[in-house]
Amino acid sequence: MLLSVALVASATPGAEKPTTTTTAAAAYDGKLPLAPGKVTLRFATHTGTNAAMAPPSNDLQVYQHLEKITNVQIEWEVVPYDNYPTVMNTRLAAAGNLPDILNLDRLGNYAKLASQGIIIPQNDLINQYGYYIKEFFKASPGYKALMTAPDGNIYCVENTVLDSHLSVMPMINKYAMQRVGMSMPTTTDEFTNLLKAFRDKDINGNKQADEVPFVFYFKQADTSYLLQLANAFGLEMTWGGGKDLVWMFRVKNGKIECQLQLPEFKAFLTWVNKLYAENLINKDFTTADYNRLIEYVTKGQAGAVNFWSTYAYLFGAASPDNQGDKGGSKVPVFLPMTPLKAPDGSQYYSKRLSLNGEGMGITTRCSAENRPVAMKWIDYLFNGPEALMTQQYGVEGWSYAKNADGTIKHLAPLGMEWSAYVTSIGGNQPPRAHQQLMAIWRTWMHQWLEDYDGTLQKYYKDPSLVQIQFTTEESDVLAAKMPDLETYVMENITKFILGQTPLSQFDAFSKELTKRGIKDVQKVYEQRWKRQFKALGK
Amino acid sequence: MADKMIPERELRGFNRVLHLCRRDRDLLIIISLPFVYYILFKYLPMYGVILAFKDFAVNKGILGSPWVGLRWFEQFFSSPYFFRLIRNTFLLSIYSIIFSFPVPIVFAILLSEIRYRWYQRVAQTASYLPYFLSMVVAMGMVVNFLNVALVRLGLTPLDFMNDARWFRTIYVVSGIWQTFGFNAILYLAAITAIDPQLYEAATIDGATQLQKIRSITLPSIVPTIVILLILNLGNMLNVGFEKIILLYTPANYETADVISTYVYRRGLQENNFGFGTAVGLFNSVINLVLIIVFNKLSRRLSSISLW
Repeated sequence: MLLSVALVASATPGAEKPTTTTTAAAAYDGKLPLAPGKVTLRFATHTGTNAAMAPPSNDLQVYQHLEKITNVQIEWEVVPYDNYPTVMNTRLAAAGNLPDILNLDRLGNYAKLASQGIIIPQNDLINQYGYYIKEFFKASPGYKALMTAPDGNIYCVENTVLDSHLSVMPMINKYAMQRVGMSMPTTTDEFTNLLKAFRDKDINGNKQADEVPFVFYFKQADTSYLLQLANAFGLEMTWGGGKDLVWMFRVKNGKIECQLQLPEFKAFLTWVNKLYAENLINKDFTTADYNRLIEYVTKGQAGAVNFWSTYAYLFGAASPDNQGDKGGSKVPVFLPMTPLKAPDGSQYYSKRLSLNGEGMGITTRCSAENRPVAMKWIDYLFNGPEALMTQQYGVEGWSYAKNADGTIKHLAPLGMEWSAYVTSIGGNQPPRAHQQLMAIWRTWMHQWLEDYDGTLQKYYKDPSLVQIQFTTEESDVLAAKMPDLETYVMENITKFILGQTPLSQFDAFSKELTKRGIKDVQKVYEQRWKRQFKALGK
Repeated sequence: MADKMIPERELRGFNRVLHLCRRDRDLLIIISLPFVYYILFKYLPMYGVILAFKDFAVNKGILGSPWVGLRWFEQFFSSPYFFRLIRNTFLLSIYSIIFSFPVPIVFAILLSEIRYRWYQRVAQTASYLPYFLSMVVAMGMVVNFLNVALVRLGLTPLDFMNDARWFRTIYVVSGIWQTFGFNAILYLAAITAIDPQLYEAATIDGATQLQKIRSITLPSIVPTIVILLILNLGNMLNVGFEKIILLYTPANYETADVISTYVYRRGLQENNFGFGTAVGLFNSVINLVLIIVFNKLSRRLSSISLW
């Protein structure tokens, strides 16, 4: 199976170091320190999506510890997550002042960046110094194929996402469900009826009709929270966003098609339009954000939320139904929903497309003698067991200790909550790794949520189109066609839902898409799918 | 000294320049800073305009990148959104000028008529406070509090962010709220400069307060009004980009999407600097034409002009 990752399911990853089989004496074996003398590298990256997390800085113990064990001193340049592509693209255009290592998240086509003289191919460096990366490629050759650009080069090793445990799906407040006397819905009709009951039966008990049964938001590059619901109509539109609008297409019966022009999509829009007209979804779905969703939940107005299921415990913690458990970790309030049945009887969630686009490039500015160190550092930071433990649990002896049986003991100063303490010293980071450690995921997924997700496993389905690299020619076609098409599509989906354009206009919308060149874009996606087929055999 | 004997008007060439420089050196020193500023930040960067005709690649630099002629202009003019962008940009500017331009004038006149000094000061300070709020905060207030206020007033909340018909109103009204106090400062200064004898004479002649405003205050500040109007018209296509980015959603693109937001989406977000520059250049050329036309018009009609 393509997406199976070798998981090291142990809480003591230090003991799990793969035994080296290389015979050449000079071969790098992943041992510390990464450089004999101190080496300084400049690293430009973003803050990550989690605002509560401390951005990387040498003032934090976690990074001081990493510097000590690797002998690599990093000069951090950290840009807020949302502005990262704009800030960094502008800086790259000015060409001067490149860092040594550059986070390539949302910066565009890698091959193009290389042809512009910004980054270098890493194939040889990985062969010589990518100790853990090679182990990972050996265990999951599918990933290696995914990360190889059409020109045969690997420009960066993107972070991977676990097969499961991460999806966007509706989560339903189980207490609200009990109050209205209904159970987990399995069809769109049952779901609609449940939302109606939430709307009419005063689920927060404040004697006001202020319920907003189902909340989510829909924005450019943030389309999943709405489009995931199209699964219930047999479509697969969950993933893709930013520069890769893969959600517009799918492969069915060996043929690529534009989902936006299918009758199923019309049925989906008709349904959401009905939800909107009957006050079952939040009216501000075009402007809301995560904080707004939390606000709806905090006031007890929302009975269901569509968001990352890993956030279920945070919504639970915010809900008035929470039973005094601040972290929301012990008493589940918001339960992930079983997928709704599509008209053909299928019932599924689309697996996340396995790569999250965040990969570290080595720039042309990085000097020849520093390139091996940069490669070793990237390899170690995202795969080295001790580095991963440090980024998650903090520094051994300071914020955690290993028990004799291999489990982890939390340490924190008196009166301070462990999680807050670890965050304050730079730890508690979401797993950003190639080979991910189950133990680390566990701190992000509370046990009940993990169990619950386990029962949903049978519904996870591989997407038919995987987000692999485009060629430079393909990305030029997309750059010329896509912005206008995306504007047109976003605008019309919104208007159909709001009822500002009647659904009788759907055929006109579909025709206009063809007129504006959606087929040229489809051709690009088809070419890429052929490469995907060649690399992965499906 | 021989040159002391020669009268100024008889000096010729270099000597004359040297003499004038020496005479006006204080003024020259004062003007030199703005001069350097304009050269450095306004004229030198104009060299980047050639990006509009090139397919910019970082490693090749601005001059080395391949020449693509009018490709970006063709792409922009053939975009299905071209006319909508032009229409939205113009309409937002025209509505802003029509509705927000007179407000600070009226406000300045009203303020100047207030007898109580302390009340005048408080009113003025309160009026220009919104100007100093950051755009993000101000628009956050518009988005979040407007409906709260409507509910408090017993009215039904409006779904105004999802309705393209509301966007222009929101844009113009919030613009007035943000800037009228601050823009009134220039007019207030002009009013203070009016010779008080004029008012005294009018009082003796028995003029009412309104007559004084009509016949003294307004005519005296007309030059200020006209010059600010010309400058405003010359900036017609430069609508408030950050403000629109903060307020627009796919639901109101129809009236909210303007040239600058489009450049942001296609030029900056897609890393297509040639395209962005081409549209920016188009924008500037239109602005230049507008300012020349309006300046000519104004000179013909009122003999007041920028040059």
